[in-house]
Amino acid sequence: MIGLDVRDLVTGYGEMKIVRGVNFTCRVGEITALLGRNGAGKTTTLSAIAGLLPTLGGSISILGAEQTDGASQRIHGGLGLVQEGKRVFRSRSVEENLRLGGFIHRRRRGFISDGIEKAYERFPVLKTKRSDAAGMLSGGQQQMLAIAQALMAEPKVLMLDEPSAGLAPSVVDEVFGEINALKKEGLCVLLVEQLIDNSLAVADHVAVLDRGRITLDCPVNELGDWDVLRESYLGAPVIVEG
Amino acid sequence: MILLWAGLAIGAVYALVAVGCNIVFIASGVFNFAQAYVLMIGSFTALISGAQLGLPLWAAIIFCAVVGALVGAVEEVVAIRRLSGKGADNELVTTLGFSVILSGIAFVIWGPNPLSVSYFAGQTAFDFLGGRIEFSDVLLILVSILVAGATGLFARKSIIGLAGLATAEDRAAAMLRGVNVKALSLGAFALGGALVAAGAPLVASKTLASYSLGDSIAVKVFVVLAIGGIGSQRGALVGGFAVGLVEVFSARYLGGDWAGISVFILLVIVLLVRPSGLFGQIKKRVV
Repeated sequence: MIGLDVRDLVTGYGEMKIVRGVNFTCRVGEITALLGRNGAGKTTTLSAIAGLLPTLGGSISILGAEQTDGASQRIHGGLGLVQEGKRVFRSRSVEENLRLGGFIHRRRRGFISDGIEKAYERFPVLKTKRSDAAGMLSGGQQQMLAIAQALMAEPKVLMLDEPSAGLAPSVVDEVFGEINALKKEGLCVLLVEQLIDNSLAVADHVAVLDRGRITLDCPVNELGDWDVLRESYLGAPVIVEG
Repeated sequence: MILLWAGLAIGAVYALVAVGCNIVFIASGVFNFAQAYVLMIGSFTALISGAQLGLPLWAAIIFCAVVGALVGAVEEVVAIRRLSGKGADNELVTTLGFSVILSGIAFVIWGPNPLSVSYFAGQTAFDFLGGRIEFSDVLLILVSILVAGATGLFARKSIIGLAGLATAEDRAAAMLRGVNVKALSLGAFALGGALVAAGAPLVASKTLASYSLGDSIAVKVFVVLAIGGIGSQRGALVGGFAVGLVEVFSARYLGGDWAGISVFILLVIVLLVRPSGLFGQIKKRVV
């Protein structure tokens, strides 16, 4: 089943078109890694899918439904986005951040408190910091909170924008472990990363974005030699030493 | 003691407007300069409902609240909607522009002379804790405390209030939690306008209905919010009473010219000690 379908997407900021005709699909129960260098258009693509940027051309479908409305409606439609840079509401407490994560389910009795308990089971460290301002947490804890917050809305399609950025290597492993667990729970995961090796270790499908276009798109197990990927990723042949 | 009551009563007016400003600020991050002018429009609404429609007090309060909500909503659509989320605090200019329009309209319709509002006319003052105070002033002080407390609690405890705080902090992130930021902003302007205007029958019986009412209050409210810390309802209340008391006491003991100056001296002292206001949160710059 297709969770996310992006067709000929064109988007950008005003006159400046950063993404020019991007195609890819993400299946439910799989992790799709979207790789690319700085400035390749990864975050711009995610912003357009989430409805924060306008779709200037092409189409975006979430769970088979084409999206034309704004961000709020897409979140109601089952989409979640963990923005880059451990973006949590820094002046609000951990628990308030989680409550806000469940905002769209606020009318369902008991839903938010149940969700918060589940979040604490998934990330026990958050429970010990429940009353602390989110801005006071460590980088890793903030990333956990950002993921937990997005999960509060119970999305079917979850996009993560460089969840490893700025984290210690041991914490990176923990975050990738969580992402793998989410896939097993049946989510459709779109993982945007610069870390090739970690991403390919968990991903089922890989797409490479370079200068606003997709330059490689295939299942990870058909990738064979990763040199193909490196070439596509870096835009030039790689000289392997030794 | 009589000065104390007078200071608290005028402070309650500042606090009420400051509370309205905070509601807007919490939900949209906008400093609404026109908030005091909504009270001014409310004072004329109170005039109409008393002198021309003959409404009882409770009906006048509801009528003023509805008018205030409408004015707030119109302001959001005209002066805020196209600018929000674009960065650069342009809203400060457009809300100032809207306030000029409001006083202009009031001037054209009702003229330059202050008009008295019939509610609480002929009431008798009574002695209370060693000072004479009018019933409407007691009511005004109580209402400002109640409104500040209730809205402060609502902002921190309810999920809608939290969504407002979150939107003010990070608009895009709030949208990604499914918050309809446009509806929230409209609602905040309407609620802020309604609360402030609902107090108008009380306030106007004290200050009279005048097109210049907004001008005299707006600057003081700015000081109140700077002293109390913008976004804090407790700060609005404490700041409002502080400004009211300083104004009244300095006018009595230092002379009328000192009333305005003393308020700004108070502002400078508070800002020297606590730059973010008494109850303001210090925003750390995130790199």
